[in-house]
Amino acid sequence: MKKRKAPCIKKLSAQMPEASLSHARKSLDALKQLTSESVAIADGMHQIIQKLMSPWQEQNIFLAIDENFRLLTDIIGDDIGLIKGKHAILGGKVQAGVVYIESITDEELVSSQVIEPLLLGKVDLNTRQEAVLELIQSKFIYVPNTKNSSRMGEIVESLLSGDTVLFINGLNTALIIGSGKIVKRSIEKPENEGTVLASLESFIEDLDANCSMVIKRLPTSALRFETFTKGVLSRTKIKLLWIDGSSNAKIVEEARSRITQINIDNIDGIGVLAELIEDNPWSIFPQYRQTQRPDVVAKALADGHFAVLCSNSPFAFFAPTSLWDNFKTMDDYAERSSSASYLRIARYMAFLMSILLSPLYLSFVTFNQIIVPPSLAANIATGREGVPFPSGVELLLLTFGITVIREGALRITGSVGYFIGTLAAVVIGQATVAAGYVSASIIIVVAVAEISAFAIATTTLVYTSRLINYFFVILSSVFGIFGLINGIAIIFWHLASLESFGVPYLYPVIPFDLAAMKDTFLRIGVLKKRLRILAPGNRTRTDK
Amino acid sequence: MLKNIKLTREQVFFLVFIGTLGNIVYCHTWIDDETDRAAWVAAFVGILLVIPFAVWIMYLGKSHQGETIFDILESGLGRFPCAVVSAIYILINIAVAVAMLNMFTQLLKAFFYPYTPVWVIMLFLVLMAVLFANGSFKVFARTVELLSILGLLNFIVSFSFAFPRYIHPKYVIPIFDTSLLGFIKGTVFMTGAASECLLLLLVMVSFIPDPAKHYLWVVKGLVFCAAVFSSAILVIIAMLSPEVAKRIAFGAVNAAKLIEVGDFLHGLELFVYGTYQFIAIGKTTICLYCAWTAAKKMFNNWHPRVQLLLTALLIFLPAVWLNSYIKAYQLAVLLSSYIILPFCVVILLLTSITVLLKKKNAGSSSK
Amino acid sequence: MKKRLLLLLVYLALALTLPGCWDYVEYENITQVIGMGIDYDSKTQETTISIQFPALKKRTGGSETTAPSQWIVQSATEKTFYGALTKLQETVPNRLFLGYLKVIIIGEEAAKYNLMDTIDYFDRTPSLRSSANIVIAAGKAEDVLKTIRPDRGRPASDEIHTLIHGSTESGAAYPVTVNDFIQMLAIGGWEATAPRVSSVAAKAQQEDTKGGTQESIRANEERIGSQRVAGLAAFKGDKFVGWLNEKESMGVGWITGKKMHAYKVSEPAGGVGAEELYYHVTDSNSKIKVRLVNGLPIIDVDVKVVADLKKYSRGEGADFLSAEAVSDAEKKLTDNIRSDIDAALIRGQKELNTDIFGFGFAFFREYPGLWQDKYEAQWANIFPCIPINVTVHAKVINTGSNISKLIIR
Repeated sequence: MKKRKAPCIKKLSAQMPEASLSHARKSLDALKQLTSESVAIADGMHQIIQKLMSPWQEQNIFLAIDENFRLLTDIIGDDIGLIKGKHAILGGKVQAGVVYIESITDEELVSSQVIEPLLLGKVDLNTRQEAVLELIQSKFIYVPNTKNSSRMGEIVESLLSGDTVLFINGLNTALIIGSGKIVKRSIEKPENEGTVLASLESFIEDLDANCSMVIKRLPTSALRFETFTKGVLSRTKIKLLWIDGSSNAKIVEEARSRITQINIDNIDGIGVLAELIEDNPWSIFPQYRQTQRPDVVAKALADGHFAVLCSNSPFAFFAPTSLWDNFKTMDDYAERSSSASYLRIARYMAFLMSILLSPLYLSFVTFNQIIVPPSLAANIATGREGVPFPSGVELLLLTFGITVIREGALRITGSVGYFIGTLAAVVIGQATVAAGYVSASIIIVVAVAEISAFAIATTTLVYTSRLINYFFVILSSVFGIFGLINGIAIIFWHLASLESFGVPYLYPVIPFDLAAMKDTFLRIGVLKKRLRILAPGNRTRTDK
Repeated sequence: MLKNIKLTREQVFFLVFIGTLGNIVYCHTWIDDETDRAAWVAAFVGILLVIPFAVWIMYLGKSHQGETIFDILESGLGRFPCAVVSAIYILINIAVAVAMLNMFTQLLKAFFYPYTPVWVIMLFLVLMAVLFANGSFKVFARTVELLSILGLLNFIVSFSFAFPRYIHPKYVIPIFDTSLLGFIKGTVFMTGAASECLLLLLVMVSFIPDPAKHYLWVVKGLVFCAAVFSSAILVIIAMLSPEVAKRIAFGAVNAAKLIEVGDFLHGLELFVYGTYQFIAIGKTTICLYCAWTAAKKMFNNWHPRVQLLLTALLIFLPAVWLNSYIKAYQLAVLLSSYIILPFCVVILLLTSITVLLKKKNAGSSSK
Repeated sequence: MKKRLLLLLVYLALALTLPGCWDYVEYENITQVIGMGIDYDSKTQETTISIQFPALKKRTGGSETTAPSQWIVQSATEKTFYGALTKLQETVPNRLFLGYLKVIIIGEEAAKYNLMDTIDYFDRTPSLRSSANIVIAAGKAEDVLKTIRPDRGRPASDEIHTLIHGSTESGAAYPVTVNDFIQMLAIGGWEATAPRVSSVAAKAQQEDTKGGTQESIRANEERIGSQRVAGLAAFKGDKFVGWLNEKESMGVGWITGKKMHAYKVSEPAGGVGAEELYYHVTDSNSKIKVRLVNGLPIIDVDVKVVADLKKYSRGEGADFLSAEAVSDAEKKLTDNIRSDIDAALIRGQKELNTDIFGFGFAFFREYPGLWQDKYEAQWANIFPCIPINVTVHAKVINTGSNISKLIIR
């Protein structure tokens, strides 16, 4: 091993004047100074950044009214219709600032129930500053719907709901006064669910009005509400309704938990809400029932279902439903039971016809000709002479064509709509037959199938039936009745696997409940017992 | 999840119903030579004779709720004998499914689709069976309920058109025109054919809640099946006369071909055929499911989906290879006469011994 | 759920992409055969099959023609039954579809020599409706099939079909479907019968005015004339043995209890100057019982007939029919019916020696064991000698809408 040479230690400062100790010490002190200063600056900057970054929601109210006003302008802007006013109230003792958004607030109420009494009121000279707010709230505001708040977030939210905010100079609590008023529709006839003998009210976009319609039909203390606010942008108010003692508590609990788990930015309407909480959004069958009528909702609640209403949507939905609920209308319960049973059976037949007629026709005409009666055979054969398309293609084209016509007719307005409808149906139909593009029997089959689809009570199921129809048509065009029966088995299997909030979709047929069958395919008498799964606690409907 | 499935009364009822009606709907003509006009009585009594065995299975499941018979066997005899028994069970199930598929496909080809290749039809049926077996058994049980009810309705409505013109009482009376020996032979054959439901029950007993208490469900299902099937045979005999009826290959479809109401309504065999298709779908799925359960047990749940597909292939390929109604018919007759019932009896005996031994061991160990 | 959806999509994809549609036949591409005729030439041992089907015209735009305007008959001759069918398929433009078959006409020679080929084919082919009616033609089936009325209103098959079903009104024959026929063939102790059809050509017309021949295929044949369905053909086993005329056919109908509505005429009631009585039979019923006496079967046939009295206007006696007069009328009717039955029995039992009445079957139902052991084999031998006791009960229940006769003043 080499021996290391001992380093020669000499003074470095002889060669480098900067290396002298004192110099180093001086530089070190300067560095320390710099560092501490920059730390202070950083602290200060950090504080400022904190202040800037902290959400204004958590911010507390300033003591000065003007600062509050400025913050509000920064947050929501004046152009939304922000009205700010400063008044010397209570005999000039207190400075107050009133803020509201003019389009959604009842200005009449603000001026007469809030500002007027405050301006006219007088207060003792020796009231404390802190007690002023409580005094105002109890003695001078004529509106009972008030609350305090000191967080800016809450203030802004209430402003956007149409409330008026009262700031008091020198207090960091503000008073929020409920004064919302929005323009709403009057209660009209339900457009999509017409009936003959039942009530003709329908929901509107205002949640309170809707709730009022339900409450007046079930004015009982057992009717329970629960409010949620969901949707980051839309802040939609959702109300869950059920009847305590009649509904299955487990099902309500399940609904509650699903609604609380919703995480979305905008709830467009009740349909979106339903899709977010239903069991199987991919299925073609709806596992809830959407309705526009308050009497349907009231009946469902009484039967043990739970209902959900939300603001800005004139529809409500209730669950858990079964397949058979889609065929019930309120007319059934208003008519006599024999007529009602007949009509309900007619609806089921219409549904079956709409999904089975065209595939059966197709398979009879192309694969299994043996079942066609001979008298029809010659007709059909002559009808098909010269048609360029094969039967399956013809059928699909026409079915699709009718869908397009219907969609178009839905959007054409007014009198033009009637004209176009007639044009499409009659003229195009006739012309295509006359020109020899399609055969007459196909048009009849397609038209009958399409029309009978609309006899079903719920519109959701109408489109379901059209989809099933397409599925069956494809299967039967390839395989005749073998494919059709396979398709039927698959649809059964799908139905058997669906559950709506824990209730099997085909209940009360499977699993079987004899007492409930009285209201499934027929309507025999007034149902005396509620369905077993829906209302396990309280099954009897009558007092006896 | 498997353990949580509890079948309801109607589901057990209809599963037993479909489980019994498998190959028996085609090969019941085998005994017509011997039972002649009493064929329907032989069918009724024959199916009823399966009840004791079914109840036996239920009682065996009493002490081991939620387990299949094979689980009990395994715990008693050890893995290897149970594997042997399971292998035979799988083979029998595959044979039943192959015979069923073939006979149904030939029904389709003879009546409606003479030019379609056999493998296409079988492929679709097996695919459907895979689809159904893949899902939950409870869903399948519900589907079977629906299909059975629809099939029954279908049958009854189609044949209600046969009254009164096509039903000839003089073909039915006198009922007993054969020797007692022939009748007994026929009955025993029917029992053998109907014991396909025992094959299903061996696996299904795990899903029935409290089997010993609810044995009546199975009994009712079997009685119902006996009544329905024997009345079907009765109607066929009344319509076709037993001499003609013993020659036909496809039972009720042949009979429904005759019905013509007025000039308008005919070709009702198409609807009766629907019932046969439901039976084929249900039975194929049941056989696939039973074989799959036994296979899963044997191979200890290794990649169950792959096992399902393999089992399906094992059903599909021999079925296509067999491709003949006559051979399938003979296979079904062979199975019904000699194989299914004895196999089930052997399994039941083994299981009973196992249970008794266990009880004795448990009794002696508790002292 | 996703897995299920996937599986379902696989299913659909297979359904769409598999080169399926082997059995896909468009409606206008099938030939709807409504009538078929089968002939056999015992000299050349060739079978001729004729079929009748509509010729579908292309629709001229706008107008809806619902009924085809022309019915075509085509025939082909070949050594075997199946050969003839194949040859026919060569000339017919579309796939032959036998599901709408209404009538199967079997020529006399074919019925004598070659029935089993035909019957076996019909039995085994499910696509052929077994509710088609069988008739036996006197002469050649081809001739019957191509006969059409001068107004060309309906094709021969339709006509014959209607006539067959109308024959229950006259009692001259009764409808026999393919299925009935097969049952009668299969059941021991019951021989088969089938209605008879004959056709008549219009006067002053040459045969085969239309149509041509090419290599034993004849197309577009037509002959003006008309058909008639009356009488029965009797079979022994699968061979045709003889015709029954109308009286004998009616007798067979009475014995076997077929529901017939016949008009019967009886000898006059009362003395000279009276005229015949007309009856309209509305219901008939029969019971066949078999007794064994000393090993020999004796057959009791009990026929019950209900009729209206349709004519009595002249003749002696009161205005109202008395009870004795009614009994007298009944007796006359009884005698008349009995004569029908006797004629049938003579023809069937003695002349043709074939048990078309089903007595053997009745025996089987009474004594199944004995039948199967002993009697079935010997039935052909003992049948001609079996004593048959016939009792007829006729009842006259009303006299139409009038109760007393029309008296001309």
